[in-house]
Amino acid sequence: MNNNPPSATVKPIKSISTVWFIPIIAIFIGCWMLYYQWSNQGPQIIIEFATAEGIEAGKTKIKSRNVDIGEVSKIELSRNSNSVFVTARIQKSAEHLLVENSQFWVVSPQISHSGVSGLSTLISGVYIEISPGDSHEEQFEYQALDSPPVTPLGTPGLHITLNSNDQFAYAEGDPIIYKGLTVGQFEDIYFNFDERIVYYNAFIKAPYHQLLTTNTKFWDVSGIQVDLNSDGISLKTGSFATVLTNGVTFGVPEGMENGEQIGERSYFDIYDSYQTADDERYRHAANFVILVSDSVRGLKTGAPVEYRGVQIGKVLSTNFAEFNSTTQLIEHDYKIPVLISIQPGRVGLPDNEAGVELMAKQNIHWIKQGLKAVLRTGNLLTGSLFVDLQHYDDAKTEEIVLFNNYPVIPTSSDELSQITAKAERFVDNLNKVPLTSLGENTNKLLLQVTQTATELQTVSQSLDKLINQVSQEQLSVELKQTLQGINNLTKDFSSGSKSYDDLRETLNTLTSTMNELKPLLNQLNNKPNSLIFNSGHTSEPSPKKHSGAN
Amino acid sequence: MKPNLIALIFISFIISACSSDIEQKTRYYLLDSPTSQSAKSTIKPVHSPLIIIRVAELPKYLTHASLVMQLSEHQLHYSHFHMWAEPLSHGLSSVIAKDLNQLNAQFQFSNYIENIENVNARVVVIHIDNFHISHQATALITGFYQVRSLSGDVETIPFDYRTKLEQDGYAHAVEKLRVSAAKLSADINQNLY
Repeated sequence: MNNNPPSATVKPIKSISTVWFIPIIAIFIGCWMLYYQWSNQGPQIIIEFATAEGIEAGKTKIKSRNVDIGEVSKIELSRNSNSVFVTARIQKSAEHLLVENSQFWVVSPQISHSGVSGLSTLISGVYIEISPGDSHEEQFEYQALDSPPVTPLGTPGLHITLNSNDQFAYAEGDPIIYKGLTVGQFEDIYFNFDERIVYYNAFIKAPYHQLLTTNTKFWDVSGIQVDLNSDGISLKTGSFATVLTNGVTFGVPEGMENGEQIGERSYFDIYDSYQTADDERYRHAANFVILVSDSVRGLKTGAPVEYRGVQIGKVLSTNFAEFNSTTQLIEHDYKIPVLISIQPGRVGLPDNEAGVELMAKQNIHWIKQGLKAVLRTGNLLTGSLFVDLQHYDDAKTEEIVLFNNYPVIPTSSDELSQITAKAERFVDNLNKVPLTSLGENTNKLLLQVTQTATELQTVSQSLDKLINQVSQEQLSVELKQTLQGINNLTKDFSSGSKSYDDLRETLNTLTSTMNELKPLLNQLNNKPNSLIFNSGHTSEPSPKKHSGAN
Repeated sequence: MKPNLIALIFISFIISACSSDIEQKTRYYLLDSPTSQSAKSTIKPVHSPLIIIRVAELPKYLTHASLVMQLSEHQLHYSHFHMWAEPLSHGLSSVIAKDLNQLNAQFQFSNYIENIENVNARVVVIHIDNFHISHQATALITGFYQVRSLSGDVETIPFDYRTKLEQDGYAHAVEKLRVSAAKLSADINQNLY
């Protein structure tokens, strides 16, 4: 027997074990998945926000037109702690949206005068909205907007700039109205400290931007506008939104040409009313001065200057001049200088220097012919005044007076003032009348008149008596005759006379006849046909003897 | 001719058939009968004081000529065929004056004096309220009379006399009305002094 075990035959492995296929395949699948994931994931962007309120990493979505295009992956505080950097991964399909002027903002619930938005975020949580830009350059770092843009990028329309040096306070989102339609909005505000002017960037959406021309004027229609002027009271509003907030409207003043189309970022001024905007179309004017002796209370800058009811200009300023001399006393009264402008464009003359020159010459000619200015009351309620130019044939002059190098139009008081002045003069004259001595003389005269009247009365009484005597004699004769006649007549009918007896007898006969007729009348009354059909029976009751009689 | 005669006879016959044999005649009565006892005049002593008998205005219902008969408490009947021959006021004053002349020898009574305002005489004024036949078969006379006394006082005395009817008919009723008037005369005589 052999006790040594057999030795193994060692053969080297010639190939890899098939079991390795499993991890290899797994690795392969894993790599493929990684590659797939890597190749399909979109770019990563960083958005800087002022605050990360409502934003959560891994949850907050990035959306475009309510379609998820990305998700916030990380939120970091900036180094100086002034802002927050939000890192987000954008889907590959939305990579083309990441361009230079794309805008990001947080969508959260908002309530404004234009409405309520973002209510869905109450349930789903805030998200980040993207407004793709139109640039062709890629960008992966952005500064987020504090609030949604008023006008989304790419909206068709026109951007303009509005100027205002008045006390308007327009805010982002305030409407721009055109004939009741909201055609645009204020986008942002910029105040120029040097010019003291507020600039507003506004956007007019298509197709209304085509309405804007070089002659377009903008004016304020905020709230309710109440205007009290020489024409009366006017109450105007824009749309309902402008009643509550601020708003402007625009248009081409009536009678003006449309003008030419404008381009982006054209400048326009905002006027306080349509009237002011309309007035601005007349760019050229001839200036004159009127020296007013009466009160100028009620005469405001901008008050109309009229010629026979037609407005031809406006008041530029009142009491605009300074004293030339500080040492010399004013000899007589001080006349208030009022500077007025007469605009050739209002009367059909060309609105240019040539028109101004012609207008000035015309007015100077008329001044020499007697043209005068009168302050008249335009509105009794407010007491506002306006300047009225009238011709006076008896006020011709050869000399044209200048005041601060402006030609002076002579003034005249209006009829009311003239009447008042005349009334005052009349009262003064009346006071001068010696009423006391007049009264004494009048008394004496009255006494004499009374005496004369008394004497006249005596004379007339004597005359009356004389006349009465004459007429009475005539009358008495006639009366006597009449009375005699009446007497004779009464004698004939007096008691005891034959006529009286005859009359009495006649009356008695009539009475007895009536008595006799009474039964017949009673019978006929009871039975009208009894004259013909008399039955002979009478239904008249008859007295009966007393039951106690024998 | 013959047909016309026949027609005339026929019409006459018809008319006569419609007529009645019985006729109701109107009768007239005098309260102051000229044949009555009181009608006899009495001779009074000269200077006998005169008293005027005057009947004041009668009630309206007695101003008619018809005799009035009361049928019930409130119903009157004016007779169609029985009339007073003279005004009742004259008849009453006349019979009372005559009765008083018979009863009173002291005074002279009259119911009519010409120019009475100029005569110094006492006056008895009689106000008649009712003078008719009642539904209780009595002839009644009611009212009051005023007598001026010697002292000048005026005395007002009412009266109400009713005489029973003993027979039917208006004629008897007039007789009894006369009897009632006579009772009034006796009453007045009692109160004259």
